[in-house]
Amino acid sequence: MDKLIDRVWEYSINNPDGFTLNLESFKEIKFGIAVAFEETQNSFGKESLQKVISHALENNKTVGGWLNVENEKFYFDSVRIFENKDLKTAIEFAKQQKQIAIFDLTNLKEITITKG
Amino acid sequence: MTKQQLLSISNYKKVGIEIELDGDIVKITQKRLFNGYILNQKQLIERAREIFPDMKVHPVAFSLDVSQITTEWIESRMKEFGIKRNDLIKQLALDKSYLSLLFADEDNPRKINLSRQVRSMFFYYFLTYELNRDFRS
Repeated sequence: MDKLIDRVWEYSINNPDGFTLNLESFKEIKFGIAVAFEETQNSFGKESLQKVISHALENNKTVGGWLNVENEKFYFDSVRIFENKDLKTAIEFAKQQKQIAIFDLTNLKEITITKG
Repeated sequence: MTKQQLLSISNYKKVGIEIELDGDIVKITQKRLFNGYILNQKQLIERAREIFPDMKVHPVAFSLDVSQITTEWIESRMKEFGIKRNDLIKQLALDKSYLSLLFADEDNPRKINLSRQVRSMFFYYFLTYELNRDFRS
């Protein structure tokens, strides 16, 4: 686990613009719809990676990260990736996870989640 | 700016799209190609308007920096995708002699330097290979 935390941390430093990373292949995910899990929301700093990576390994094996330039802290979350054909399921899942937006990586487009 | 707007900006930054505020204007720029999808000005405006509905939008479409395309870059991409010189000749309709002079040593007086157009051609040629690989994986 420590090795994986170090690898993800190093990847974050090298990719401060942000990323969505598959922990098994260690490749960036470029297609599909990304939905964050509520449980790992607002996790920041290297110390948060233990929780985020553990959650990701038990779920979709995907971690998202980005540098918040306002406070210069790296934020991480465990992410689930849906195929584009499963947009409705992705939106339902986002509602369950209390997300207000999800991201369509394929079409480079944020999708706002409306309540209800 | 709201927390959600900041989050949206960071989401777009992840995929190579930068959104900046300058007074009452939102500037949205596709700085890099994240997955090969090039957005036009209308699409960029739509994305910015979703975040800032009441502001003027200045879209800046992707612009290729050809200075990064060198013969070394071309050779490394050929190696990455298993492409031979004969493939380039056939797939890009190039003359064998032209290609030889393009890859000739620097001290060869007949060496041909890469023009902007040829650099651009190679960029989009390898992008096709990259996209095909990524889609299939």
